[in-house]
Amino acid sequence: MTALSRGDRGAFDPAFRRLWPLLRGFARRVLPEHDADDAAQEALLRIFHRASEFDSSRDALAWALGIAAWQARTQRTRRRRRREDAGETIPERVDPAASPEDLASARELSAALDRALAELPSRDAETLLAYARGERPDLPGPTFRKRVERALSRLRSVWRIRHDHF
Amino acid sequence: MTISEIAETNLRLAARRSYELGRLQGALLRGAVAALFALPGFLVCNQTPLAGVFVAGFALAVAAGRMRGQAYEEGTKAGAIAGVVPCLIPALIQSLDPSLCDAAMRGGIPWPCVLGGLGAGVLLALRGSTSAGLPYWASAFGTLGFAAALGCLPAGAMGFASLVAGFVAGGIPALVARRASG
Repeated sequence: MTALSRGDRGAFDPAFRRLWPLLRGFARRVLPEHDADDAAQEALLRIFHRASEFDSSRDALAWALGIAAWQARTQRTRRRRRREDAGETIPERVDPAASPEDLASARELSAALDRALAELPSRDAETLLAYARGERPDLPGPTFRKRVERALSRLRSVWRIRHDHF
Repeated sequence: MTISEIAETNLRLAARRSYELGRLQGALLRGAVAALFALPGFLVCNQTPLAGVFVAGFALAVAAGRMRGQAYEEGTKAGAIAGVVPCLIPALIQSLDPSLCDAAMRGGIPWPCVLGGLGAGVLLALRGSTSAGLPYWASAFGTLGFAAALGCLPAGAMGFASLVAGFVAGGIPALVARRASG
């Protein structure tokens, strides 16, 4: 990295060969696989973009991993926002050709969901219902997101206990 | 070539582009800062098209050195630091006493140029890398030339001669002293 920061192009290939597997491994450890490669690639491009600013008195590995960690965080935030936006904007699709069996199965699923929600603490159930309706209670955004995540994770646990076969 | 190898080759190219783009941005920023430093030399007693060319040349030399890197970058850095002295001395004199600049630059020996050359010679002799090769010194002298010429342009040919004389008078003793001290 020191040689690259001084403009030595000969150091590019060795730096690439060392950095790419390292960043990919790091990203796969902290992100789901489909996001990990994107985050690792973006981190790699960012590291090379900023290579000229690298201060040779610093530890190159710590510097590169710092950028990769930041990129992983950005990727996670991006994914969460995308999920939230999709939840808010995609209209509910009603299949006009749904069969009676499908309708019965949907009713069963809905009743099972109601039962699972009833087992949750009331605040979790209210949070999830508000989130599903696209309502935003009078809370700061990050707090609400945290509550939604917590409530979803409890709902998943309850669902797993009651409906192992799903 | 497998798909993953193609993907890696593309990524390598993208990374290289990103690296060059980062260097270019850094180079443009450094060139702009260099132009800002040289601007008083242009604005105070030297607003001619030729002086404008020298300001642009100075900024471009600094930016090109940064873009190319290694010895070129080191050389332009040393040349720019040394060149700021002869570039700014006439501007400093003018800002202290506007009548002094004309008198000093146009009558007899233009002593601000001698003084600037002296300062530049000492700085370059002390800062310059004695083991560096041609790219270093060519970049250093090129950058120094643009900046110093900007300061001594109003004095014409006599200004350049005085600048060179000052540079030699300042640089050689400083270089000898540096070598002697090891």
